[in-house]
Amino acid sequence: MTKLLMIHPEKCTGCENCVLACSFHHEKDFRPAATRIHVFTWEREGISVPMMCQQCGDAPCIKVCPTGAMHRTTGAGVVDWDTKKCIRCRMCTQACPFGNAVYDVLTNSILKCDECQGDPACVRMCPNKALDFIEDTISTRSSTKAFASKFKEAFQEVK
Amino acid sequence: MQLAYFANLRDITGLSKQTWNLNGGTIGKLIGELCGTYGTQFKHWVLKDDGSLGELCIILVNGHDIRELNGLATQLHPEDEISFFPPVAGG
Amino acid sequence: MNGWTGTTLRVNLTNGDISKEPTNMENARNFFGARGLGTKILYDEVDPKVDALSPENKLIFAPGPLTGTFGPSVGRFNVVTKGPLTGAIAASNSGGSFGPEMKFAGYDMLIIEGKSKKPVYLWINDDQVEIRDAGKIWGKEVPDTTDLIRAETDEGAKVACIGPAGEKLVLFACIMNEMYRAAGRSGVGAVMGSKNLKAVAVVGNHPVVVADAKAFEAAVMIARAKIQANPVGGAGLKAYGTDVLVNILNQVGSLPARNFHDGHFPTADKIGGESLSKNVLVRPKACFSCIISCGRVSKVTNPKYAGEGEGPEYESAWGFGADCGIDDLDAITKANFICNELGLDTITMGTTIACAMDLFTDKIITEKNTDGIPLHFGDAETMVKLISMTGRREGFGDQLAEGSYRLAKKYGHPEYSMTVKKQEMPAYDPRGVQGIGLNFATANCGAAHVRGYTIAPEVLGNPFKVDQHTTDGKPALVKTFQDLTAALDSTGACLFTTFGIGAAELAAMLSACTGIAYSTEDFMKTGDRIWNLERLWNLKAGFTKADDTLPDRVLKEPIQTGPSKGDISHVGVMMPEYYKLRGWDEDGVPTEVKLRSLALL
Repeated sequence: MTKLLMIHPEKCTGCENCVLACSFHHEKDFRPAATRIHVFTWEREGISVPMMCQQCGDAPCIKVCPTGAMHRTTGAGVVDWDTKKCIRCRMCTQACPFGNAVYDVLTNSILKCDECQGDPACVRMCPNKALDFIEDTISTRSSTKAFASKFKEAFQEVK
Repeated sequence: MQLAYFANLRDITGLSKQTWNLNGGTIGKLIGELCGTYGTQFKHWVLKDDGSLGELCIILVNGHDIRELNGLATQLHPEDEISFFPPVAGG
Repeated sequence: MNGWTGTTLRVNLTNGDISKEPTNMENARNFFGARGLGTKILYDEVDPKVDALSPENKLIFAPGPLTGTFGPSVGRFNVVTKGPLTGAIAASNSGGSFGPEMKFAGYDMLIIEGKSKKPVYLWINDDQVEIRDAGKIWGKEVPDTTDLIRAETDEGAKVACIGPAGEKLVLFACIMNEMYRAAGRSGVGAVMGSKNLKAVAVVGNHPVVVADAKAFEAAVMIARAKIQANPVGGAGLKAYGTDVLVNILNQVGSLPARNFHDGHFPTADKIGGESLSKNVLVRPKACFSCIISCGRVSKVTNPKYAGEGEGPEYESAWGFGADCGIDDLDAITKANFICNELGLDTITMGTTIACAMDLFTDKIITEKNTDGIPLHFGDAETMVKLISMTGRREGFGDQLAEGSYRLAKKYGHPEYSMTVKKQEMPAYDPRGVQGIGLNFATANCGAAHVRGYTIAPEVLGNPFKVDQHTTDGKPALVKTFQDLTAALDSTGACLFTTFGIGAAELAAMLSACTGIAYSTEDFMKTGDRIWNLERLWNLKAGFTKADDTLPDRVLKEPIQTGPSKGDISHVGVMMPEYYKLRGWDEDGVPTEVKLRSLALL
């Protein structure tokens, strides 16, 4: 079974511990521009949403890459990036429909989520359980259940 | 006597206040009766596993913290007002 | 450089000079950053007798060495300057994300000097720093200012700015960041306005580096676990916010009501955290790197007071609420929104209105003085109306804009002002809680609760319980809390981390971060050093032991109703022991021996 990184934006408080954890895990220092997880906060509405590479099954970044630097090892979940093959054309950053592949000037590299070898640092550090690394078969269960509960409460009131 | 509940103790008991007839006794006796009515969720906030007063609860009798009175052995009277707070803070 | 960036940015608005200088590492070592480092600079560079609103005053923004890392809730910074409200040192603390972004841009401190001839804002784009014209933004409220500046600079820029209140030099104007977080007290926003500086926008791409990554991560995980295991830090604050305090302070009879005429407010439940959660709360919010999430995103749908934003916090809800005799939560929440939009300190605003209501009730001022507006305790609509007037210095608002001390003094009755060193006491009655009264009287920035938050042990029982009504042991308790807080503030950590951790855990994180081995003793001693340096500066500014006291009302008029009925403050009894423990002489002046022991001589 494959595991997926799921987001629960309704639980996100905009603290960006995930951003710091990602930067620290990969670079051993703290630089939000070096993150593979991006958090957008709308202050007036008080809403924050975390976003990271979706590891698309049919990935546009792989299709567009001229050297095979963006690739998927057979059977693996993650879309991987090979720095040795990469020519820094940055076509992948333009192909991703979500903007989840980013070019970092300081390290001259493409930043995209690699799920931290199966133990995502962002999931570990999120204090609000807004991020989940969960089996694909049950990944949406908590969201479905949360909404289904509203029906349960409505029906319970009707005698 | 008048009991008042605050913060999440209101969610656990479903009430913000109630009248209670203790028929004499201590805070310890009152808590025992309340735990019987409201169950383990209430008990969790008020008592430690060994039955001693939990660190997680502020209990006032007529505005005075029972830790400055006689703890669980504080004697209660019919006109007393007892307030129950889970850990709260601000600044 | 580990923890610190090693660079301090200095901007002179009079001649437009922008310079980068190496951060003085001996100062950093001895004072950490944020409050401590800013205080050291103010001490070395600013004459304590300057006019706070003159170009000679300096405005210092400083995050701490931990700021920008993933320590739990360590994303804070201080604004250090001479406070216009008090004439004392001001070190206003704030959350949000401005402090971390200063570190990512590569700066330990921003020192602003002089005065610009025209309204400007500062744009710190990593290594490139510019002073830009703010003519089109001057006059705008805080949220619009933030959006407009982002449109001209970077959509992701963090913006610290003033609203109309700072521009109009309201003596308690504040500096806001990320729209709803405030460097609130003592009028730091007016200093910014006096320099014609509308905002500072910052974006950065430098890494914040720690000395020992492995040890730092380990220390952080220990600290996180302790905070998360603490019922307050781990759950309570997120569920109810700080406003949950209203009911507990009221139940112990120490919730000041109607300008401190009483210590109990019968309808307090309507304005507490339980009511807030039910009626105006939308969701919790966190500052950068915070795991506690005490922030409240809130909304009022009642058309009379409709609005959106964040808050109210406990002291704000109290100031507009019980202190004014008001129990309308919608009005109180709206009052908080307006303060955020105009850039006003909610505590001083609420308590100044309460003072005005008190003066009016006793016919010391009349409709002739107040533009025909009657000022009665309990009048929520008028309370809300007065805030907009104050923020723009319109009509009677111009008098309120001076704060309660100058207002009451103007009409010949300064004793109606519930202030210490001209700054208003917040939401804890010093008659019912002896230790916090001693803290109010001795805090170097004027009356303030966070400087030595002894409410935690005295009322909440966190981390241990002491009797709120006694004076025994309180001088030592107050000193310990004051020293710990001064050191904590100077690392960039949030005070709420103390619901879970203490000096030991903070010292461990700081050591692994900076590469300097600080013990718990070093940590507390640094706090003591910072406290004494603030004190020295204030003494040179002209403060004396006569200023280390509380208003007559709380010394002489007992609380009228409730569980603390009959209590008064015994701060005078505690003061000599406090001075002695501090190593000061009978006049409250630090002795040579004391200063030498702190390496301040």
